[in-house]
Amino acid sequence: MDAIADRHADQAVSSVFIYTREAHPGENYRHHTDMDVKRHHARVLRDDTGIKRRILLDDLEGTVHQAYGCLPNMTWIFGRGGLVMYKAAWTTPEDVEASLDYAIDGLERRVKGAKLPFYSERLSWRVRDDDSFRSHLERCGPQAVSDFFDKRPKGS
Amino acid sequence: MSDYNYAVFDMVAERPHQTGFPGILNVGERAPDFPLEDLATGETVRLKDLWSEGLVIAEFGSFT
Repeated sequence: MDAIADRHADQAVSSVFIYTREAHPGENYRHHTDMDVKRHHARVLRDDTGIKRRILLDDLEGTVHQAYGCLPNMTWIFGRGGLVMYKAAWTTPEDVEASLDYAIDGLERRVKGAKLPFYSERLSWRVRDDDSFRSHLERCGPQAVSDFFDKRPKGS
Repeated sequence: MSDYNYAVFDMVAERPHQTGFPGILNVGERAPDFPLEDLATGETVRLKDLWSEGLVIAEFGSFT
């Protein structure tokens, strides 16, 4: 996602990471009880992943997160004035960048009077990588691993 | 405090949140504005200030 931000920085595109609640709290990174805990975990994310995008903290009650759907790793694209141009229940860089390019192209053609927008929906796909996800949850703590892998419905 | 910051991930309770949006705010609509805190500076940033400058990509997430 940082690479997408870099590639589109000269097209008046800003990219931010909005820090929410902990999706899979464990013994090493527990749920937020105050904003200092939330700030600390956000710094861990920044330092661990090397994320370069601006990190913005939601409030402790998740006001922004809940207003936008409360999904654990969603991405939204907004146009000028807050026009919602894309929302995805999961973040995949390929889908985000393709949608961003599509949005930019459509907006440019709309300005020229060549295109009009319409509403559409579709199902997108992401790579399943249980090993990588389990490895990350192990860093969060045994509880995080157990809460997800031991209790998820078969076949999911 | 509400149960927004759950201490234990409950697969059953959170399942609806893993699969799709709860019928809110579709593409083509105007998004609501909210304040956020910039981790680097501590300053308040408003979403409307971001999208007044151009397109905005907003990824939501956490370390865990």
